[in-house]
Amino acid sequence: MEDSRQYLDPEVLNKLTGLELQARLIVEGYVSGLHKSPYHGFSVEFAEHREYVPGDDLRYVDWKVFGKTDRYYLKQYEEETNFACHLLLDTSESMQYRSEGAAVSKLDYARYVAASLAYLITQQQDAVGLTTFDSEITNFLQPSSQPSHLKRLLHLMEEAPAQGETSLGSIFHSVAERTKQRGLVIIISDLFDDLETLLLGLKHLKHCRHDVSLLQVIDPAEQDFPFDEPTLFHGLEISADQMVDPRSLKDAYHREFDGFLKEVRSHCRNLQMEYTLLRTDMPLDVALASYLNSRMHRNSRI
Amino acid sequence: MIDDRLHILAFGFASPWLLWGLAAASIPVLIHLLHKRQYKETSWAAMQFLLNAARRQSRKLRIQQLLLLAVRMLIVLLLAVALARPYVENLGAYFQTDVPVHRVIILDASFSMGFMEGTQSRFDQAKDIARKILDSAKQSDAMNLMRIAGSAPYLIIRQPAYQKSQVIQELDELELTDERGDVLATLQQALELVQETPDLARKEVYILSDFQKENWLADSPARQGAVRKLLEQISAVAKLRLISQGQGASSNTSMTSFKIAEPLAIVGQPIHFLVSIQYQGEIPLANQTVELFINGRLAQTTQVDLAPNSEAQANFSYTLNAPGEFQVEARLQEDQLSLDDRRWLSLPAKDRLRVLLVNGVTSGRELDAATAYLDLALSPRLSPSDATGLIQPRVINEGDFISTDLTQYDCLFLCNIGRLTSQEVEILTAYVRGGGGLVVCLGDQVDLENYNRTLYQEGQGLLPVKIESRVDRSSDNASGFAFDSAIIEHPIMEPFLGNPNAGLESVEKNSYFKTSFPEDSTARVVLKFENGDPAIIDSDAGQGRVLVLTTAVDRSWGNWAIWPSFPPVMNECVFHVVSGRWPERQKLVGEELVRPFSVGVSEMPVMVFRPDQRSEPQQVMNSENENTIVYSNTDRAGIYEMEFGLPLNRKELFAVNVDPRESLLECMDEKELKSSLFSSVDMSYRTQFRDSGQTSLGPVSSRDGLTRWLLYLVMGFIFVEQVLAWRFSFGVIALGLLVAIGLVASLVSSGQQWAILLIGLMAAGLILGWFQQGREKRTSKR
Repeated sequence: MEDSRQYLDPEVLNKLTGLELQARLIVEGYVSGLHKSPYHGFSVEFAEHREYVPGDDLRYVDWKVFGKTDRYYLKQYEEETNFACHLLLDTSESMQYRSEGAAVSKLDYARYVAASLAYLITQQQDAVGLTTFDSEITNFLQPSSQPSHLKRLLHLMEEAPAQGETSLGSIFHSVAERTKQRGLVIIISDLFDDLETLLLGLKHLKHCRHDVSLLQVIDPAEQDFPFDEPTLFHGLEISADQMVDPRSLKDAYHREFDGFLKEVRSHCRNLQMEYTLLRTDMPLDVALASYLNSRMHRNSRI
Repeated sequence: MIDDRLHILAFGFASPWLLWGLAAASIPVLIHLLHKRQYKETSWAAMQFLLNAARRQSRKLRIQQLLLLAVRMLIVLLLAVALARPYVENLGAYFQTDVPVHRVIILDASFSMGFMEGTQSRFDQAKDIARKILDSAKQSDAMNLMRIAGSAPYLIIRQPAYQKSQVIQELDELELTDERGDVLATLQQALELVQETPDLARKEVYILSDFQKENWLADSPARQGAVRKLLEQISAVAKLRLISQGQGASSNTSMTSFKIAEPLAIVGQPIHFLVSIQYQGEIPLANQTVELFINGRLAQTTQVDLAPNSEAQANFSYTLNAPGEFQVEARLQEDQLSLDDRRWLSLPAKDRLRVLLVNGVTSGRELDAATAYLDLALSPRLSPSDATGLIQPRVINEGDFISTDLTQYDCLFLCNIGRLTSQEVEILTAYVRGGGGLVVCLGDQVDLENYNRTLYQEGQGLLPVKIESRVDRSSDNASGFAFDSAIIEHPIMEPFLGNPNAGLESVEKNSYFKTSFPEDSTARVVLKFENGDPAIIDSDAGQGRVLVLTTAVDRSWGNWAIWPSFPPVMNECVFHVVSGRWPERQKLVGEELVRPFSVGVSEMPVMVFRPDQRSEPQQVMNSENENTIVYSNTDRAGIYEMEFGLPLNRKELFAVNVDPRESLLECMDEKELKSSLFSSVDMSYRTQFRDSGQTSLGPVSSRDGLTRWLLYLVMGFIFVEQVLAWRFSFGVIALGLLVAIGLVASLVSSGQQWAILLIGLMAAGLILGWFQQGREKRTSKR
């Protein structure tokens, strides 16, 4: 459906109201672009081959093996466990930022992503919970796979105000304490915080044997730094004003910012955590795909 | 009404094309407006990265800020310096200031500069250099010309002249003098000159001289100190530039004196001419000719050998046949400095000397007269018609004295005159001061009091001594008063020198007068008695001479009058007293010729004929007792002829010679100058004059200068500052361009092409940098 694909553009999405609608549209749009339906197992883990017995579902025949051996074998998957996903949404003030070239603020974009992920997870009858935070946890919803829970979740996302400072490290520690069972933790934030505390928090989560994914949402301007006239920058969370001539500062800024991204990425790799960089000018299906596909690749490698 | 408006608008600009600058004044406004518009504000989430980056950039920023500050400071500095109207020499005509230079050229015109080097004299060389200096002067420069000479004028051009042609004309007309250089006087006037023109701030004093030791390290340490002080004072307001002509070896022969051995030139008797020669040089000269010219005709030649750096003498002996005024010249072989190779002598030759004897004792018997023996001693004869001697005495009595015309007589003897009236003394004084000779012989008639009052006058009168008491031979003194056997060296006593037993010691006198000398007396004792009292006293009075004989010249007080030593002494007295007038005929260049007269010649026409063929009429100057002719224009060496009209109708010759001191050609070199005169004075020393930096390409207006160049720079820097503040990288490019343009402009005007190549390379580098920057900009936009 071509119609639905247009809603993957954040700009167009922005014109709609209602996160539920938006989430649905995103997912549908995403899905329509997929060849395979994602509904069959979110975390699909291939276990082994089983010899075909007449009456089995033909969908699971591994045709490659047939091609090689001329015998029918079925792909068997791990039993889908009852897995819970915790969505951690950063609602601090830095997420408010929207540059001139971007259609939505980082927070709005994060909302879309979070909403669509929640939608997807609920569709496959898995549990999803939400934590919104800034310098401390502002809202906490335990994971549940009930559709009504989804509604509540989406509503919460919509209403969460953007304020306060980011303080990721301590948040993660709190989350780690609150969640009992091992599950999937998806962190959606710009990660603009002290790297040391962030790392400690992540390690704590890892220690609790969670499967952690980081979706870093940044504004294109933050990465590109497209300013060339003397500009006075007002800090959003840090109350500092800096007057710069961006042209002379550009290289140095790039060094700083790209260095930061690189560090985050390398730490994630070390901790074997999923990391995806999302820019608010990315179409949402690309955003979702980049995360989910990389996840699938990762999983299949294991 | 329209007229009024035009009147109000009646002003203009000297350089209207510069009004484009007004348009440039709007550029900062534009930049300011643009600058303001670009200033944006935005909120920003990734502040920590920005801050970190800014901190890292702060060092770069600080450098940028410093550069901006430096440019701003430079603007103010350059403006201040430009307003001070600086000037730098030797940097090319483009940088010459528009402040006019006051150039004072001092040329040494003393006769040592007549030394020939090749075909040109040092003076001509100096004139050439002076011309070069004048040529190098700009239109706005003021010029003065001065000379070092022995007499005024020292300032040739009184006021600073702006017309080069006028100065060059004066320079061309400047002639070498025969004078010795008076450095002190010239420097004094030079100091006054530079001090009285303070509005001409930049002064240069050029001294073109041979820097002869004789002129510059003059006479006494006091004078040298005065010269040094003057130089210090001059250098305080002006730059001293010495250009020395005294380079190269200078050997010189010169005549230092020319005189005769005898006191007087007497017709029929051999006259011995003595020529003193000085030779400064390393090579011995042999057989140098010396010539004697009498009245212009060659009379005799002789030859002399000159050893290096020595003195020699050449002698001539000549007898004149007729009386009159003779001009005698001695000439050396000509060398590189010819002015000092000849000297003149004015020689009045006499065939007879007329002597007036005034008798104070009248008596019936001839031989009792006071003058009797004196008469015979001076002109020995048996009868009046036998008188053939040189001396022609005439005897008059005391009473006839007043009515006698004294000018006819070469000298006077007063013999035993009792007293003198004041009128008689006046006549005598005029006569003596006019050059006449007086011999006062005392005797028993002499009234002490009268003589002291009228003749001595407390040392102001004719008499050189005060007459004290009369001393008589005492009864127990057997031999009387004898003369001292130790002969005093004096022209009168010359015959007796080395000639004992000539009848002098055996003279016995019975009486004489004691005399006393005043405090600062210049009189000389010619003959003494054995007891030390003077018998004959000699002194100068004005142009004449006075002799005093303290004892009688007749037989009243002893036998001397008939003793063999009497005639020679009397004759010598005559010669000595008469020759008093003669040295006044020989003068040095610059000295006055003075000819006094005793009797009324106030209306007499006088003409002076100079050695350069010019003639000048003179006036007789009249004062109470004297008539005098003074001629001061003795600037050339040679014979000057004074022609007297009625009533005298006579010609007299004067010889004017160069000062022999100027012939000492030893010159000071730079080291000696520095150590002696310029030890605390800044000066530049050269032997040539070189133009400094006249290689301007193209017309340079005389009002251009370093100031203008600096002001252009200031304008450029202001522009650069604006651009720097607006956008730093553009500003740096603008700065680079400004520096490049400045360097190109300065080097083009001073003609150094190699630097233009460098500028080209710099420009190429700048352009490359620009492209590089552009490329970076393009790649940074993703």
